[in-house]
Amino acid sequence: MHPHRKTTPSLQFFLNSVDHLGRPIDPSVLSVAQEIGPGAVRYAEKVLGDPALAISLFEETAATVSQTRRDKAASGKPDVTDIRGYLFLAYTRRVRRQKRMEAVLNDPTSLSLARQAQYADVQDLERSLFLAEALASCDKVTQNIVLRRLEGYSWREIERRCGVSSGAARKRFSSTVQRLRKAFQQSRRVT
Amino acid sequence: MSAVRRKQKRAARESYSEKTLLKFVKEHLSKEYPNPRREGCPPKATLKHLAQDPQQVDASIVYHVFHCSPCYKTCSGLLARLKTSR
Repeated sequence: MHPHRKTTPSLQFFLNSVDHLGRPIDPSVLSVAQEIGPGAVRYAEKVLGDPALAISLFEETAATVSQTRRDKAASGKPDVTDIRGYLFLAYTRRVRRQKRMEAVLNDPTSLSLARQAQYADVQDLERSLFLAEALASCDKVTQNIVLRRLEGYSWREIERRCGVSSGAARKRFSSTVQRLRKAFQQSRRVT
Repeated sequence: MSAVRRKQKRAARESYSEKTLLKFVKEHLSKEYPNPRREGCPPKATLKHLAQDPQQVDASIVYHVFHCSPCYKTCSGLLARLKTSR
């Protein structure tokens, strides 16, 4: 007979309300961060191999997202619609950038290549964030239409499955594409 | 060529085509949300249900598919299979 395996209770995930640079994390961002933190940090630990760095980067990201929201509010721009997705994306990007920087620290000759990669990375990050925002602002029906159009479904097929007329589906899809285009152009202006 | 037409042509050249945008969206959804432990993922049957009858599925499932690359890939595969089986 096998003895009962001892299970270690999972530690509760706690995040500071300021990052290591002293920048505050807003309560709304903090609550979302507490929610997605365990999974996200575990992923970063695997990539970076350093739990302390993973949590530190997560706090930094949460503080940056808080700052972004404050800046948006101050300049009268619309708030981030999907904080969860925004925070997660920003964090995974930061983790990957950190991972790439490790390679540069180990081999300084690759610095010029790394700079180019970093610029491309920032461009990529902005694009992804804007894209995530644009997709999150769609309703369920539109998201279903987008899912099917991505697989090359015809409008007639979409009409049959999604319960909207092909004309309405076209309109919804074209306004989403327009929003995505705007988001992409916005990201090009930012970088 | 009139100035308006030139302006329109330049705007079209500088903007992204629908095909390019969809390519970016597809790449974004299948790469940007890694979830190796499949945390919070719905069962495959629910994704199948989403592919077959999207109206009956809760909005949170669609939201999840847009925020989880493995689920998006599964759903995309199911949709592709459903399309070819018709």
